[in-house]
Amino acid sequence: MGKYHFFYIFGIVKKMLRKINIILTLMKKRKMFMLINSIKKIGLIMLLFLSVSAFASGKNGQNHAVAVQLTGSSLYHAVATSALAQTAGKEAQKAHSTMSRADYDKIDPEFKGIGPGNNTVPFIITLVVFILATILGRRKKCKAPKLMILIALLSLGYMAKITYVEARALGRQQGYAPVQPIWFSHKIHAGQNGINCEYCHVDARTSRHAGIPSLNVCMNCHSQVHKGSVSGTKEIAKIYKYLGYNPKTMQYDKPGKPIQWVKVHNLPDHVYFNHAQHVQAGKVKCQECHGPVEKMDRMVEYKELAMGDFCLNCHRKRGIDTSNPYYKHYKFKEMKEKQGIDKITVDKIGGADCSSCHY
Amino acid sequence: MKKYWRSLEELESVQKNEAVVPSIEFPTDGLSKDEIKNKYVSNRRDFLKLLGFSTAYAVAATSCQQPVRKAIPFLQRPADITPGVANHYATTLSTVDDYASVVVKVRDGRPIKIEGNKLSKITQGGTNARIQAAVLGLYDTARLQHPLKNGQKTSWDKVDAEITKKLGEIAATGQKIYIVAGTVISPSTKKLFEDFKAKYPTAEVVYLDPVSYSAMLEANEATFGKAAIPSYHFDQAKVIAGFNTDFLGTWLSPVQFAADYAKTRDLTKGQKEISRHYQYETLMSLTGSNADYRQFIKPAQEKKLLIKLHNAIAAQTGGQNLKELPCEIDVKKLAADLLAHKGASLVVSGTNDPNIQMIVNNINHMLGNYGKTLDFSRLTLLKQGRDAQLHQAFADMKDGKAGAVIFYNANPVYTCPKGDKKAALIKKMPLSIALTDKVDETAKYTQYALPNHNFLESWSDAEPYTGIYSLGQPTINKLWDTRQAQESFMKWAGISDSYYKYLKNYWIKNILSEKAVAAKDDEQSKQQDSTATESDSILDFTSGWNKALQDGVYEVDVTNEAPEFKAGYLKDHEAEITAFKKPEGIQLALYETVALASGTMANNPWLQEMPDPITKATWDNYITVSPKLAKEKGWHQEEVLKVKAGDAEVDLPVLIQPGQDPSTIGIALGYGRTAAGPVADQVGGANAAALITSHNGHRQFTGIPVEISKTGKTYPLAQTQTHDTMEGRAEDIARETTLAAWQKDKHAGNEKHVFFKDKLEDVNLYKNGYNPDDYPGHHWGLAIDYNKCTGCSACIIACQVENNIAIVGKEQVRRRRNMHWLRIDRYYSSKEDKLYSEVEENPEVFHQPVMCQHCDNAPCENVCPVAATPHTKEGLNSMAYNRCIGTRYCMNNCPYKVRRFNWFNFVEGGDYNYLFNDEVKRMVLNPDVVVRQRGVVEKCTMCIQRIQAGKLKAKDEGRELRDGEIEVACQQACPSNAIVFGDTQMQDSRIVKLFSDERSYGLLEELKTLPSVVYMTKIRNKDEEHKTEA
Repeated sequence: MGKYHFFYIFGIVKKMLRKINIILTLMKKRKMFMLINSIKKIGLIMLLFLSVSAFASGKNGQNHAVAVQLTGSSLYHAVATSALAQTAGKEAQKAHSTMSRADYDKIDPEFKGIGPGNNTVPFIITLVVFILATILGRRKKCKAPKLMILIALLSLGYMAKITYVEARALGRQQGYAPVQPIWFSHKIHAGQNGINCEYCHVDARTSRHAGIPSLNVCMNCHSQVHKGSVSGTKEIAKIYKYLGYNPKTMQYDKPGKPIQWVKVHNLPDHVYFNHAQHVQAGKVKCQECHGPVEKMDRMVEYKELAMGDFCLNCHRKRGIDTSNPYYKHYKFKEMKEKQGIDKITVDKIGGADCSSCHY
Repeated sequence: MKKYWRSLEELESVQKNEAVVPSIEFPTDGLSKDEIKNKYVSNRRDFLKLLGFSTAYAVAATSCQQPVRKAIPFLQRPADITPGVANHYATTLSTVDDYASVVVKVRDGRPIKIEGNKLSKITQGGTNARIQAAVLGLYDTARLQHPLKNGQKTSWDKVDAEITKKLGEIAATGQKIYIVAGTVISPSTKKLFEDFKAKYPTAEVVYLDPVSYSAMLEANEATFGKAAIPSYHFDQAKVIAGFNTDFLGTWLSPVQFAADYAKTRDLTKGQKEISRHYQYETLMSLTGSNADYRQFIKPAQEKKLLIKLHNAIAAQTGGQNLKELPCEIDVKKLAADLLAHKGASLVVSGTNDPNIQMIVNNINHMLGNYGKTLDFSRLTLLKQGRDAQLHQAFADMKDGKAGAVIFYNANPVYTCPKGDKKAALIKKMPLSIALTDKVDETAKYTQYALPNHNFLESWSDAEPYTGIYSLGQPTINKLWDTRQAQESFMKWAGISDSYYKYLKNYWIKNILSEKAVAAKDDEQSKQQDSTATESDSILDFTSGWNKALQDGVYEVDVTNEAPEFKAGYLKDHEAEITAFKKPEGIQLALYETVALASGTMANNPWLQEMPDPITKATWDNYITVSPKLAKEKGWHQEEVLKVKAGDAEVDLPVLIQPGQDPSTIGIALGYGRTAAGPVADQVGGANAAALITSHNGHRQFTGIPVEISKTGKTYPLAQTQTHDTMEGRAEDIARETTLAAWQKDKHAGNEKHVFFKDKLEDVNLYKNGYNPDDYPGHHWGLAIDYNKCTGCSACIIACQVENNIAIVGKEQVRRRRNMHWLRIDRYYSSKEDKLYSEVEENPEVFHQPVMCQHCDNAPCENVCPVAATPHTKEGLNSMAYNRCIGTRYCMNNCPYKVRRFNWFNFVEGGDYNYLFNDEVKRMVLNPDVVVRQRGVVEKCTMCIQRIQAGKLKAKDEGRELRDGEIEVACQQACPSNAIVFGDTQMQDSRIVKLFSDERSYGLLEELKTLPSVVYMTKIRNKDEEHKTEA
């Protein structure tokens, strides 16, 4: 069996998997979907490497062993990493299992397109093009081998681009909008009712964490407000349940249980971010980083919280509050003269140093 | 000119006038054969494999989903907790080794760091290594987690019922109930013991100090009629003479003494004079290493020497002479100095022999030191154990006169000689109880092992000196099913209350009202008295309780009359006091190490891995032997010897230690624990307490006659003294001079700094010098004053706690992979013209803390291929761990050798089963500092997290940063205030003054690396003239 047969067989398998996937999606078998998905990815990786090795091996097929080895090692690691992905997925699923499918999809349309999106389909198409071009181009009968090579190279480039985009989004969660245990709407609270952000997120000026409000803050209003305009009493009753509060007798007569909100904005552990620094000292508005929260029903990570594009770009553009007496002994005047700038930006006083966020 | 050396191998090179061969930074010793031979050669195939793997990994990783993270808020948020912001609570630490009023940093409900309480007059905001490390004791999973009866889990209710019944029966028969406790300085606990005695009249309290101060108490009783230790004021002393006492490391109240001592050595506040310190000691101690004049003596010589000194002083002051014993050591100079500073001198001895203590008392009396440097108006209550009482207690237990014994903070099976016999005794007792933190050597044999709270979970109070109090409050709820020992006593004494209420009532009635009474009988104080009687409410703002609790310390005036000195006592008992028996053969001196002291914290990996300030050894105890003796007997380093004293024997390896008496060997107490927990179990060493002998009813720690035999075995020791060398350039690095020379010329000893400052501009390696424009606001700097630094190593542990630094274990220390960001280099020095033998016998010692120097021309920054260690706009050399790929070029290029590489995943436990191995211990980690993974370089960040937090606080409050507002961890821990941190661009700041001081210089300044850390030339108070280099 020659190596080209591999591609043929994989092609068929892949198609089958896709069909199964569609069926599974329709049947709402999320678990199976995930499994098939990971098998699919492993297959893709194998294909990628076989094709790379096909290029590398040349006509005499000397490097066939290398190709096999490569496939073996990548297969192993792919399986290992997919297993990781699988467990994470399980957790996600568990967190979401309390909500109905309809709730899950109820994200505001204007926030739907945020994030890198799903690149799987374009990737597979390009891969097929690449493989076809390679196979055709290497045939003796081929009439336009140069064209085929060009197509192969272009598709390889496009795949590289997708890989880059995906790799870049690694660990970032732009567009992440998990379903929360309580169907809390910022649109209703911050938007329609106009409650100030810091009424609930009280620690934003004093702590590194803005703070998820404790339930006694909710009760400031909801000891009176028992019914919402959209969800009726259903969601507000959840607060009482968590607190062990009986709205009829107005007594906290049962043991409480903390709410496990799903954290939307996650930074890696090696980043130190401090809300107080930005909100109090830097006078940054919440919306500048979190987007138009007051328009969101479901909280979504609006901006890509990336070091270069997001953090540093802002630090390089944004001027600091030079009127703060803290900066009294800073040499701003000399700096402006010497460097020919008219604004002291954050990076000019150390806001672009590694150690201002990484320690 | 002086020559410096760090080990005997280096000394050999120095003597032969050869260049000191630098030790290899990445040595191969300790590696496996395959690692050394580099068998894992990679070829093209491997390369392709790796290439494939990494690409596949990248693709696979992109398909990973992020784990779901939860945010769980409070249901009802407590008023004083802000998630992410630390709270600080004043509390009290009181162990058998240390007392300190401390401030505990509590982050999100977890105590994570202990800091000194600046309001305390005793510790003055300082700590030592043991106090810094004590926070881990809370999270020690080896702690006993529920009450035990005969090794079986039981419940508190059952325990109480059984014990109360049994105690009642025993008291009814007239048998004694002994409470054997480490010295209790808590006034409310003492009151509680009285209440306990009221219920059980046969109860008796006996104090057991692991290292006895009984002789001092006895000598004071004989000469003053008062069995008490006066308070020592080292800060008032201009001449200090120490005899076998390590008052800077372990003796009595070391944190306080280090602070007071450093005040007399300070030259930064316009002083012209410093104190002069003579030390006569058998072994090289931390205190001896700081002395101006140090002389080693045989243990038996101490008495002879003191009598000689006594007579020399008596001759001048008109005192009575004692019978002189022949002594070859000259004391003329010391006597003259002491006489010249009458009332401002201090003679101290740590030997547990009442005769010696009486002579010392008489010397101090003749010098008029009582009422000045020694003060009976405030008594030291830290050590109250009497050897005779302890002896009696065990005799009663043997005879059956005692029916019950309760151990509280005491572990006699481990800390006393003949532990196995004591264990057998305890086993036979009708009722034996241990109130303990773990099933230790003693609790193994008691019927009941009842877990006590950690001090961070308890209410407590303390009275270390009469009239000086401190309060302790819990900083966390109890972690396991433990109960505070005091509450147990209360239950058994039939007091149904919480200890908190008991303590508070006691304070309001007895302590807080004292002041109220003293403060006149006006209306207010009457009100105070009325509230004092009923005080269940937390909201009493009148009694002063809240203030005392917040401050952690409280002081009342005391007017104790100074007892009269019975000058005739010595003459009356002359024969007894001057009795002398010539010792034969080799003697043993036992000592406590600065890290472990009596060994109660042996399960603490921070302390185990802390290099000893003198020997620089970690993880073990050993026999210290002088080079002369080793040569004579043919012993070599790491050879295991058998030491026999009476029936007891221990096998320990040899460590050759210059500066100690050649007829004495030294062994540290506190090691060889058998029931302290998994970390202590991994440690080698042997329990030297078995070798303690008894002399006239006193536990004798020095001058024990021993037989020594070879075993033919060797045992590896992990010393750090030759790690991280600066290539034998110590003459430039360690700068010192004498006081006289400094008084003449402020640049004395630091002439090179002047030279380099002016002339180096053109010849430096790095052309781009310091440019102030690079630093628009702050430029952080650190100044370290050798005159105040004692080398006590509190900073090492503080740094480790603050920055989540890994523990690597003994094997890795041997491979030079220890992770301490801050190390203390210990140099020995000696005159070049002296003979080899003389030099090694009694060298001078120089302690030098070295951390990242944060060079403005940093050599490490230039060689990083991935720019992981750039310079910041505030003059710091930063380290981005996630960018680091672990080439270690920076480590090679750093002339100070301060960078550390994570060779393994120390954070994941596994083989490195010390600190990060379980969920509970991880609670001690500082959440503001990232935990480093394998394969990255790390180093001192100058506590950037504290800098950032300090800056933010000032910014948020809209004010300028105050000088001294930000304190780095090493500075905060330092008991002697040797380290100062600050902004070198802030006008009139302390650091600017220190930077411009004539004594200041940078390490290896000829390289023009422009370090941000300056060191201040050590000034020794010696008569010899300082000779400058031609």
